[in-house]
Amino acid sequence: MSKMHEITINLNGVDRNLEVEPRRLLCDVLREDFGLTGTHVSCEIGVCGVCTVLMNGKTCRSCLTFAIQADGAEVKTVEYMNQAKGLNYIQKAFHENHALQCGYCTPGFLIVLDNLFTNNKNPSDDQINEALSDVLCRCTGYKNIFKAACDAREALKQM
Amino acid sequence: MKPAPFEYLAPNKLSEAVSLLSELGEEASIMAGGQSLVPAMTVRLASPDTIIDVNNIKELKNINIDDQNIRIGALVTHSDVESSEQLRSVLPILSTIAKHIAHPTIRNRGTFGGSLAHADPAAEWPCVLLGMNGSIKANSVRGERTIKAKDFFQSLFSTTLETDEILTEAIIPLSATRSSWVFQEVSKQVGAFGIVFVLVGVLKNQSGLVEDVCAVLGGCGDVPLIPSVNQTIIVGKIPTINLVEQYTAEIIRSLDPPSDINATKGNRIQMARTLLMRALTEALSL
Repeated sequence: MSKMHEITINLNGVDRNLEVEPRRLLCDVLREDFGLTGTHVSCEIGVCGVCTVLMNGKTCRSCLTFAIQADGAEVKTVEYMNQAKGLNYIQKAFHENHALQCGYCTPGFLIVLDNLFTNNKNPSDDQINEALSDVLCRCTGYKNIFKAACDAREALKQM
Repeated sequence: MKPAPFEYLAPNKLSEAVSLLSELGEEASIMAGGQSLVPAMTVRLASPDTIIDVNNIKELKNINIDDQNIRIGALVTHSDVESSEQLRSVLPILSTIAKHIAHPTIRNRGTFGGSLAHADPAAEWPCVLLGMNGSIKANSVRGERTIKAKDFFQSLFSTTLETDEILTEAIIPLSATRSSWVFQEVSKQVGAFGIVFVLVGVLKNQSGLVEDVCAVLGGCGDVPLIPSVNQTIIVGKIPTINLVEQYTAEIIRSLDPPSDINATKGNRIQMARTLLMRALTEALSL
């Protein structure tokens, strides 16, 4: 075992402290140490995108980031999306468009779309597709996910 | 699998980083964006004793343009290149190429310098640096040196960077901005590694004669290639489709690309021919 390091992460708006070994990946620390199991882990080599979280306002593969690198950073996981109870507008659009089947990849899609809509209130279809290309879904195909993203874009205009 | 245990150091200054690297030598790895290093560690292709994370060294995050060169700090991310107005105003092709690198989330953390030092044959930036006659700056406790791109990429994942050196900056001469650049790539899907890609730069004079032409190929060998072919096929002439075909045929004759899981040698030759024709005709406005 290597030397432990004390880190502080602002996690979904709350400062959290932890002692970590440098080898621990951010995705594992989120799930195992902080109990935030909304962040899923699949390929572990940065290909599938299901572990995507926001770090300092940018999307980041939590399997390609050591937790120690998030020391002092602001990290948001899918759990921050419905802190105010119920589904937010992106989650609602996924629900209404049957944009998930097994749901394993869904947290990744929700995070990349949340980030897209934060930076661009009215993204083009191409920009939506580019964002969706970040995450792999192996059961629905992308049609319903794209439809949900378009509905979320409309919902955002009404907000 | 999970990465093997390692010690973690995150110096704030370049001078500290080079001393640490000089002390620890081959047992240490420099980490920039980590988008290639971390997966290599996860599957245990890499298991360094120590990681020297250079992300706290702010001076490596700058983009500067002086009267002779574009200087891209090693920690400038692919996303930074994609969105930099400063770069887009002088060399917009860089932003176009950045979009071919992986997915937006990977581009948020992957870095220009990391890509050059890693020297993956499927990476785009080595091609750019070679084609634009660029160089890299390397620092160590012994001092600083500049290495021409043509002397930098040695073979698969291997460069002439010494074990105590840190790549700190990529340098592209401003003279590159005079050419018209076109980039073409074949990949299996958006975000996948390029199988074959070409970068073409063309300089025409006022009367329409070709003054200079450069074609770099990626995915056709262990390192990016500038095939040495007879430039006078096209240089000094008014370009035509026929000349472009002759020039492309010369390049294709010089290639000996590998066969692998992604494409056979024959596939790669076909792709290279098509991409070269497209890129050259577009760059020459034919």
